[in-house]
Amino acid sequence: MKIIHTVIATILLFILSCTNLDETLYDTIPFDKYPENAQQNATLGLSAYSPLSELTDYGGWWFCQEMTTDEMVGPTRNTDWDDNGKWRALQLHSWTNETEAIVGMWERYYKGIFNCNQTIDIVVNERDTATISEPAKVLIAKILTIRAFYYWLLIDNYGDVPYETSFFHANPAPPLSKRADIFNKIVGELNYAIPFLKNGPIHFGVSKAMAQMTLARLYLNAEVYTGTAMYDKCIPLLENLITTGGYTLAANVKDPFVTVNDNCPENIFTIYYDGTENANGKPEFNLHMRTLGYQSNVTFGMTVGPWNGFATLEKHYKLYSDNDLRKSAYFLAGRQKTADGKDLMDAETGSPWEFTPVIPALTISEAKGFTKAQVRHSGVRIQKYEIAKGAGQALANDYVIFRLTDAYLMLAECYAIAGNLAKVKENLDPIRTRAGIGVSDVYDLEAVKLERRREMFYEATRRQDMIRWGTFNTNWWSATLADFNTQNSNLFPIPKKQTDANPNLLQSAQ
Amino acid sequence: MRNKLRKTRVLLLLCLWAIPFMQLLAQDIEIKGKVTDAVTKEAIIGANITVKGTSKGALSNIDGDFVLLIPVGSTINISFLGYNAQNIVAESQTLSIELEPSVQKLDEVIVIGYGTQKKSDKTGAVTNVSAAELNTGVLTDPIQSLQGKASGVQITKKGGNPNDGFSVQIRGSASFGSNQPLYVIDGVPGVDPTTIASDDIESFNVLKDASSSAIYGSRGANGVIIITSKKGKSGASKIDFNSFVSLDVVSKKLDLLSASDIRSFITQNNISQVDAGASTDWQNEIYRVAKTQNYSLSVAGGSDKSTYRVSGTWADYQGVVIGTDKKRFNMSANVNQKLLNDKLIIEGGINGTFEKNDYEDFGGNGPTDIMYQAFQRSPLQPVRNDDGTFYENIGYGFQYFNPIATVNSIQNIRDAKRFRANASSELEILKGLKAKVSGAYSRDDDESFYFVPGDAPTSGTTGKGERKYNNIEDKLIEAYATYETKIASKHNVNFVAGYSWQQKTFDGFNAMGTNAQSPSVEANKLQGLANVTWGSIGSYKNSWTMISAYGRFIYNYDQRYALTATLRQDGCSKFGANNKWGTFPSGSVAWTLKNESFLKDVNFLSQLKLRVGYGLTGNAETLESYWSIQRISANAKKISLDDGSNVILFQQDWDANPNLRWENTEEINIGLDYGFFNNKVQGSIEVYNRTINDLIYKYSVPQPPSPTGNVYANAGQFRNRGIEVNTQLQVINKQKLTYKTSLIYSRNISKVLNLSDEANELRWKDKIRYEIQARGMVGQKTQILDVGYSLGTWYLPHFVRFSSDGAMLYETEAGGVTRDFTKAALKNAGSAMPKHNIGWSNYFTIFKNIDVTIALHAVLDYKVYNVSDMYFSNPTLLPNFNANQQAVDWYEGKIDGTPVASDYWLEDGSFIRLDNVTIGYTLPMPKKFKISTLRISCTANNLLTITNYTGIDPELSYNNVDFGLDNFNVYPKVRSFVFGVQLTF
Repeated sequence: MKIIHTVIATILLFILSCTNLDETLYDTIPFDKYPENAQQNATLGLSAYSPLSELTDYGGWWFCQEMTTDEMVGPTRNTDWDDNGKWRALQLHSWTNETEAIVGMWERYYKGIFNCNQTIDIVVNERDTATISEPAKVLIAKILTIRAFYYWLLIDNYGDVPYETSFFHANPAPPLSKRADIFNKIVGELNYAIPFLKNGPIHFGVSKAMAQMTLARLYLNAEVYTGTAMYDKCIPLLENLITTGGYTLAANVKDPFVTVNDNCPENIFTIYYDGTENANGKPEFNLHMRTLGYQSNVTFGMTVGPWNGFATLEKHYKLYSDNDLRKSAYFLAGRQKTADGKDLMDAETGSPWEFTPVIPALTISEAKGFTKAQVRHSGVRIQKYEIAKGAGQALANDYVIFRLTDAYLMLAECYAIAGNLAKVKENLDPIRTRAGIGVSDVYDLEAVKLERRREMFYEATRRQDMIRWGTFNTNWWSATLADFNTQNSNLFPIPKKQTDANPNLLQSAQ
Repeated sequence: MRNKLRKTRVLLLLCLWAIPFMQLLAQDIEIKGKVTDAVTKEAIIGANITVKGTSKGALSNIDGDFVLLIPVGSTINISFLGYNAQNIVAESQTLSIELEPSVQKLDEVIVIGYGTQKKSDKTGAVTNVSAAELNTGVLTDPIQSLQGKASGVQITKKGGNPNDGFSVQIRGSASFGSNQPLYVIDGVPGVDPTTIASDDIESFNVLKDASSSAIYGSRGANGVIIITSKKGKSGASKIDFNSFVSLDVVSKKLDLLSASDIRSFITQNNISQVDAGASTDWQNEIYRVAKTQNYSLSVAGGSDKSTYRVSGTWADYQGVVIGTDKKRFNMSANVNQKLLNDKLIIEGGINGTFEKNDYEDFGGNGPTDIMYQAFQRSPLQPVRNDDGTFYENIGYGFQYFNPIATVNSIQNIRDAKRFRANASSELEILKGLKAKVSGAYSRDDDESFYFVPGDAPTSGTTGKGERKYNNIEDKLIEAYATYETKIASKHNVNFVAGYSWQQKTFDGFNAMGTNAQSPSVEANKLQGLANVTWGSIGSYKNSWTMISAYGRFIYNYDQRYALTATLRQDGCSKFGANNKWGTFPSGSVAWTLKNESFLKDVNFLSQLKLRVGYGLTGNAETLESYWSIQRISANAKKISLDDGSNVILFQQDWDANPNLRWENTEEINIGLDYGFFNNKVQGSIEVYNRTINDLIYKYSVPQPPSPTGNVYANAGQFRNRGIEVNTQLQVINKQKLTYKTSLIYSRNISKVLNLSDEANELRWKDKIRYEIQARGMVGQKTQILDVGYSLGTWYLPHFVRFSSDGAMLYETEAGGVTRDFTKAALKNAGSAMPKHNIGWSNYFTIFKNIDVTIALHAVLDYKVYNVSDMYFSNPTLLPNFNANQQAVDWYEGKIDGTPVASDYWLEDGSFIRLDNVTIGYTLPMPKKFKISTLRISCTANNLLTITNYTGIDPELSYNNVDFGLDNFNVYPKVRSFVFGVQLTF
């Protein structure tokens, strides 16, 4: 019996001690312990940048700024690139609030804003602003800049959006704020932050020039955002950037876009890529895959065959004269060659690969009477970002968001509107000379617009420019594309997923 | 013949006269006996004869005869399953023993969790299937033996990949996470059912309704399958050897064009086409006739005090698709020891499973998916060039690769080891009061190797080598007490109260490199790969703990009225801080009308019992550890903005939800057990209504302020209602022929009740879902999951007719037609959930040593979306790629066959499948071979499938809320011809 007593006692003791159900974390850090040490403290600001890397792919930003314009298109080639019409919808302006690219943008911007708000709240930690150290203030200034950058993209694309600045006291279902109000707030935040920021050359972090570029873009498009033009505010800002920013124009047209462009003196703000896949296993920078032909890997020595899709439109390609260095630097046209200079033969048609400028229709299919060669070869392709030998599905080139040439062009535009043609010439000539087309005799606003179109091609500015210049809603395909939606589509709709989750976003949505 | 027998008998008698003189001297006599069935007078083969007080024993042979040399005057015990045992004092030297069959099945014992119950006392919906009734033949997983045997239990597998598991769905259980039942093997819950060999299974007990599975609390919502393994029996050691070999063939190929079909298409339509000059049937190239082998050996025996069983099974399942294979070795040993005058019973067992799998990719339509590559590949191209290298032609199409070359270049294998040990001791403290303490420990680990050489055409990243290792450690301690007593002869009570503690830890590691520089070193030495980046090396670790207290009370009055009540309290570390503990009660009553005075004398009625049960159970499997707490994790390697050095980016990637808890099921079950003509006809009917609440899913929350716009939360609600009928008939029971048949039927109707939670601002966002994964069809969704619909509802444009110029026309909202499918109205087009499930098993014995089994099951009235037909009917595939005959017809008829999701491609998936047909012959064995039974058998699995479905196979798998697409890249179903030999010593 004694044995039985001991056994029962042991069991009871065991039962009483084993009621602990707290979760033990092994491979993640509990939130209340973060940041754990000085090293994590130093990298607190990094999370703010992380959604940027997805913006050139499923994050949708690049697609929404380029594929909706007259400089890039993703035609349907037989059944390839049909993808339930999501590419055609962008070109035809017939997108809905469920179109993938539009849904993706919102998610990335607000993920970035969440990271910014969380970082600021962790650093400030509910303290009085007077007790915050100088380094912390600099960090906060940088985060405010990045957050303003995200909010600028939000008001540029969606118009009225929620404006949230707190992590600890987040509003669970925030309402919309007016576009003009957010504009004023972020202009104020940028003006506050600029004195704290350093001069360049800094290429993939926040610098003074990056904040100035964001502010300049806001002023440049102010009439679209608020109804009041602010070109005059742009001029001193950009002059200051050019003279004191710490950046200089690159010597060659290709320099900002080569594989190792980390130290290009002209790049002000880039998305850092290193040619590897991100945490989700998706290649990060793969625009080249979408445009190059199925067998272009032979031409470039790539390890994998591209997807033969996107191309530039004929009208855009014709803007470049034959002596323009950018024509051959940015584009891939005509007969394609193998590594030893022979014609690259298309295994399916039996004829050589030849990228032709003419794109006969938005849907090019043999069923509609086009030839196999037309289906596969139509459209001039893009090699603006260098494709290194041995490149795979992800390129290591950093994607350029802001560069000094952009500042020159913006300044030229503001001067042209102000009527100061001499200043326009001063800002356009370096660009023209570098491109090999020499000086011009005309320096009016139209000349600036033309130069901006040629130079900033592929850099996700075209949609913003077309809206500012009032040409976004005209059918540039003419008769061949009767389905083009000419209604005002200057704003993207708020994604359905978001309005379903938060009905407050439906009120007064335009 | 008769003369010979008489002569032999005379000789024997003469010898027998002589022997006793010798025996008197030795005190041992030789006993010869014959065991027969008292009713049919047939010999009983394999009856167990033991001698009390010794470990001597024997088994009766095919004639029912046995011989024993035993001390004079000792008592022998003769027993056999299904008969009342007899004790006889050995006085005469020839014994003629007639065993009475026990009242069929009523005394059968069912396992109900933490105890057993007589079938006659059952109050819940529990189905018991014993080893003799299970399916035989090629069973890639032991759960396959239960297919078609238990009503309400849907065991399915899409395709015939030996490396794929089965999905088991009980009573329509559904979840966005796991809807699979809980497996309990020898009392240990949560064990992988593939770690036990089919030959080691004694019985399956399925707890179907909540009133019986509530004893398992937060893990019983999807039903519980209790597997009991074979144990030793007292008596002579019995050696069982069971083996089979089989030839497996593909039961149906996809109907595509041949090389000559394409050539005549080209000439008839005057197309200029590059012709490589070969005629290849790519499906034949990737399929093969496969061999399966299975050998098992077991030894069991013991005395009254201790019994043991040791077994080992080796199986090799070669897949019918080249490059796929599964080899498995199970070994197990268990011991049962009685001490302290039978008051203390100690049991222990160890189990080991070693498995090696060889995989090929085939789930999608990428470069390495060999089935898609084989289907689409032009038959005009050869497999190899003249010099023996593989013919590639990569630029021919998008991601166009030779599948045979892929099988030969990619290595993808897994090596798994599972080990489990369990021990228990049960002590009878007082009369009727027993206490049991048990513990179990198991380790599952598996290692995978993946290697693509640098020169393989599919290696986009110049080759890749990867090794992964996953380890699961499971610890269980349980203690419970049982008190059983009879009060005043009519009141039977049974109490169980217990405690359980279980902890499961998961950890793993993986390392990968690209740019493989040595094809022979493969992934054995990862240093042979030149490119390793951050993220190529990773590891993880997580764990959960569950603590429970449970109790059960069973009361039975006079074998007429029974009541069962259970209560379980489960706490789990996975549950959110606001919901750490859950309570799961249940109650059921049963009224045995047959034992009432007004029915006692109705002779044709042998059983009539009415049962009603109610229970609340939970499903904790969908919930993963740590979803309820806020965490920061290492996300990526970045460059520091200050000094350019490498730093790790830490980020919060999820929304925590402290309210997360288990999914729960509430069910009412009403059952009727019946029996006629001395149980010649018996069965049961069950009717149930179950509501599944708090389904966990990633619901939409406002973004901002959420970082992702999603959070895991409990909000969904489904309902299942249904009926299950099962009947067994002993049709013929004569000397020369016995025939027993078993028929099961079930019907389940599901409906979505709720998918959002207004109070917590959780919104359902995935109403239109289930995308077709085919080239160029990104974004075309096919089903709707919303309030008011059943699971698996097709939601598609309605095809009206073809226009005069060959375009498909769909119905618009207004009732007109349009050729633009984006403007068509989406309509409810039927369900992928079958209406009727039927199983029919027939067991014959002819001339006492020939046994025949015919088992089939049918799944009726549901719609499958034939993606293969849709994709390969596209005329633009021709003549470069392979297509089907419809593509040729449509090309010539100028029909626009661009694949578009519509109800044109839905087909009725009803089928009847002849699962197994077995003929076995038990050979008469002369005594001198010392073999008790020798049986040879022939089995055909999937001999015949009757269906109108035109694709490869209409069988679907229901382990998800999305099912019904036959996406042309499903491993083919297999037809097997099996030859088996079974020996018992």
